[in-house]
Amino acid sequence: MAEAAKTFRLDILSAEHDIYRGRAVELIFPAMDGGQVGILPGHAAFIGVLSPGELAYKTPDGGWHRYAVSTGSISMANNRCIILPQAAETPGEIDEVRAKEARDRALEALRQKQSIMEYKRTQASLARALTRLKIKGGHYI
Amino acid sequence: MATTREIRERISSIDDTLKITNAMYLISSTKLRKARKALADTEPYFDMLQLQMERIMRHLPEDFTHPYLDSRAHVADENLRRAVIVVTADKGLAGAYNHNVLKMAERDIRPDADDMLFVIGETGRVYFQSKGIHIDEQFHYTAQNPTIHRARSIAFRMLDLYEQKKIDEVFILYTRMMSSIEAEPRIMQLLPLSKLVLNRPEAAGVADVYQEAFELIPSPREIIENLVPNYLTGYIFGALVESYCCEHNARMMAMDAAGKNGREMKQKLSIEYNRLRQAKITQEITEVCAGARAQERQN
Repeated sequence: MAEAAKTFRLDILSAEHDIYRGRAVELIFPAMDGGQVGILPGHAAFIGVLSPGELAYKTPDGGWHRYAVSTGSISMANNRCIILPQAAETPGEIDEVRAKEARDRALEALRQKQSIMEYKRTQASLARALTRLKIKGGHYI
Repeated sequence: MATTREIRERISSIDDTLKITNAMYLISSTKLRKARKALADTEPYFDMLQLQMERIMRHLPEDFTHPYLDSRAHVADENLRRAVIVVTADKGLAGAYNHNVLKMAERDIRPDADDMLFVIGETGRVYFQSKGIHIDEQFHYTAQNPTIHRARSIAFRMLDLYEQKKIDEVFILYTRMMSSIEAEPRIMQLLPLSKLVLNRPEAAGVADVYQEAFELIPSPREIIENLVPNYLTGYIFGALVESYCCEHNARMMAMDAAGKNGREMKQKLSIEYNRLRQAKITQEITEVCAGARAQERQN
């Protein structure tokens, strides 16, 4: 098998900066239904939704890279995968204190009476905070 | 003619003003550099997002409908309630930057209709308030250091109002950077979405290119529902960053010009001052000499 066929092109661009542009062998992203979806080279073309969670990819040198991502889109076409999360952070970049505060704020807000829109928003921010904490490596959930 | 003291006072006041313009110039240039970097960092994401959105729109099933795409055709054009987000600066002293945006806003807003104004930046707020034009009071966002978070909360606010059918169309009025010295206010329609995505001039060219079939996972509705807020956030963020860039560019140029004028004035005044001083000295010498001569004669 040709070398190129074992890898695929991966572009991860967040709104703040480029995360990764290069080849990858494997990718796991958080899907809408709460599960994880794996992508291997030569995956069929699709457009999907990225939900807040943990994103990981394996580079050709065998190393795994993990990120906490917020919502975004993912598309695969012609062996090229484009991921556009609004924000992505490595475990090192995550501010644990801030994430904890965000989680507590969201939990508190969820206890109060809210409109559906507000409820969805707090839920989303809770999800973001929990992902951050999970990736940071503590046992918060 | 002014006395030397008056001229000296004017020179020192110009000196003080020069200090201010100089400081503002320096501040703006650092902020501009930061804003430029932010713009360059978000550009690839934003371009990709736009492509992605076009792609999704092309691959939507024929009969797909969604509130975000509904152009509310049942409402007559003049009855469409519009929301306009106007991006201005927090401070003046930025050349024509604020003026251009506000002029455009005045031209396009119909105060008699149910247009809602959402103003970002203090200058715009003060302007509309003094003109007696109603603006939304609960919309307190600053133009300083745009963040994705701020863009997101603005986008959600707009989507919220749109879904509740309080507004039918959403526009954003911001300043686009044409080149490093040229900027131009621009109005873009954000919602309904079809206008934003399909009216872009670049979108027309790709229609005849071979298009691969995409599967939309999990469903077109879910994708639209999840990506539209993202897309709007991205668009608003891009607009905020670009406006912020333009603001500081404009301020930098304005302060540069002000500094130049100040130095020119100072130069002129100091020549005048020197002349006056010289004239005074000459006069004094003549007086002293004349006095001495008169004394001599008396002796």
